[in-house]
Amino acid sequence: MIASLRRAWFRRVGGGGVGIAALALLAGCDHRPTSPPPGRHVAPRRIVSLAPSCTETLVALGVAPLLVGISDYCPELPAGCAATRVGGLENLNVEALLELDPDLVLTVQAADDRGLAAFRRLGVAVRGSNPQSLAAMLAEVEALAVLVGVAERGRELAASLHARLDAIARDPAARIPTIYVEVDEPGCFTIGHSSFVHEAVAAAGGLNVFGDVAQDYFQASQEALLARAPDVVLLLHPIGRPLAERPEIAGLAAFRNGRVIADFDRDSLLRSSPRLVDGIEALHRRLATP
Amino acid sequence: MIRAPGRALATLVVVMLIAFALALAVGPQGWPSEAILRLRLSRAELAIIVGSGLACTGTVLQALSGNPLADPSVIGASSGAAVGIVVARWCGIALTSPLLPLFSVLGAYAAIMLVLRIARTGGRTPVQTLLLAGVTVGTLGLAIVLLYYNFHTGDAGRTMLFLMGSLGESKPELIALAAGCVAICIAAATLSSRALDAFCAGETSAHHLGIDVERYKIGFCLLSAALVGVIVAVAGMIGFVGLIVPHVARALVGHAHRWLIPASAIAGAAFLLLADLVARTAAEPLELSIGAITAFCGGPFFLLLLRRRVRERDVLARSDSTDDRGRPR
Repeated sequence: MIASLRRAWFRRVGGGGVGIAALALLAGCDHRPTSPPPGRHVAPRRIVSLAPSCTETLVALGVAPLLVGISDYCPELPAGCAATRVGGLENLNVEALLELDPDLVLTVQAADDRGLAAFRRLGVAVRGSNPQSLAAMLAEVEALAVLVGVAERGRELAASLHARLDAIARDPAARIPTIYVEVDEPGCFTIGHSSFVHEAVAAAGGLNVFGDVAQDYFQASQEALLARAPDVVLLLHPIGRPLAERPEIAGLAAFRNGRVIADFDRDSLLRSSPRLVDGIEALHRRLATP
Repeated sequence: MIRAPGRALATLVVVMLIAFALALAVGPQGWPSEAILRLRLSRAELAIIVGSGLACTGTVLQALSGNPLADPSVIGASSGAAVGIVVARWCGIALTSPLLPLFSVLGAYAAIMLVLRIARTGGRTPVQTLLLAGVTVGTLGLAIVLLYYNFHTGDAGRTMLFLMGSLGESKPELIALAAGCVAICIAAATLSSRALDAFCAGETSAHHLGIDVERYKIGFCLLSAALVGVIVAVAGMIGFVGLIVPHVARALVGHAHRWLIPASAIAGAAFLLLADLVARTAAEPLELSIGAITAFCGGPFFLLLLRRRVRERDVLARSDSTDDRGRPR
């Protein structure tokens, strides 16, 4: 139960989406596909992004001025852009969102999310996507670019991201270090091979120590972490408890050897957006440094 | 019916020692390294402290309320402690701070005192009103926790997950504090076993037996608040232990609290040791929620117990309404 709650919470906060359960209650359940209603060929001009990854993608495409509303978890927009914050996780301000009169709402909710259907019933076009791999992220960049009418820019951005990933792949380390990625505490909340973070770690030249687990995010046992003895520990959350007080971390050779990375820009690895490539490059550099 | 409570208690001690040995020896890694052994020892210590404390609280509350369904959540103590934790977090106190138990004990105490004040009429505290007020205050407490979750979305997720219960806490100061508090409370409850026995016969009978009912009632509520507050501060809210274990202990050593309190404490420790063993090994390398394990083990057992109790009541009711040959009176 903890693991599933954490997973749901993490998807919304770390993964970038926003809970819209209240809307679901308001409008009931629907399972239509997640693309905007057919017949709308005009590029949207008033977009609300409820997901940091969508916001970052639009910023990278150079169309940040189209954003009229963003979630509390989204990054600051470039100078000159003004967007209203419409809440976050459990406190989405639906009325504030509707007042912005958006012609498109972007979110990373899964296709069968009831919240998407609820938005549609309120007459708002919604696009939900959930790119859980590097290929899906690159495809999403191109798809969003087409949607907002900058298809060419999208192709160029995706190509440049692809080229940067290829450059990292051509620079393999002498030895691939095993790495434990912690995305939350208390407990050892980590990633399995179903998460895009697992693929990002692999692209950076690391081997996820829990890569054999067929989960996206899950709570590992403290003992399993000690037994798997990773070479590197990567903490992608604010440190709540001193590491020396955590026996499952303090007992690792990585801790004794100073191979614990606690100051990493966590959002760069936890959001499936073009910024993920920045995170992969930064992690690649950190892993190469002994 | 129970002939040798001493022998039953000794058996429980042996069971707990076996559970302790298993908790140290069994794990996915076979023979453990020093670091893993230290980890298992820390979890086992916490399992013993939390298990014995929760079971003792359950026994005291069941005697006090004369209700076999009573446990820390019923009189609002658990959610009071949870509110204390939320207030501490709101004041910026870390989840590992030694100040945290102070807030949760105060929260549990405030909840219990509020329940007592609401439930008290004419200088007395009838059991039904006590339970009703307890459930209401408990619900209010949970509402405060949920509101905190709404308003502090970033950090609140972590606090909520902490409250859901785990034996991962390993800070020696917190463990020592909890151990001391639980030991003192168990000793105090054992020394007050005569009063607890009297409460089982009802408040009026307890009064006729010379027990200062109101004073003891407040004392036992304070004791429960201290236990629940400290346990919630180190391990979150782990359910079912305080509800189930006292019934098992009662079946083994009888109803005399002189034996029942220590037996409950030992059985509670053994139960949580085994539950934690399952939590960390059943789905390795995943760690399961300890609260889910206690509920899965405790739930079916409790339903069996409830069913048996209902049947016994039916038999009693039938014998009351029929004569010796089974004919209606």
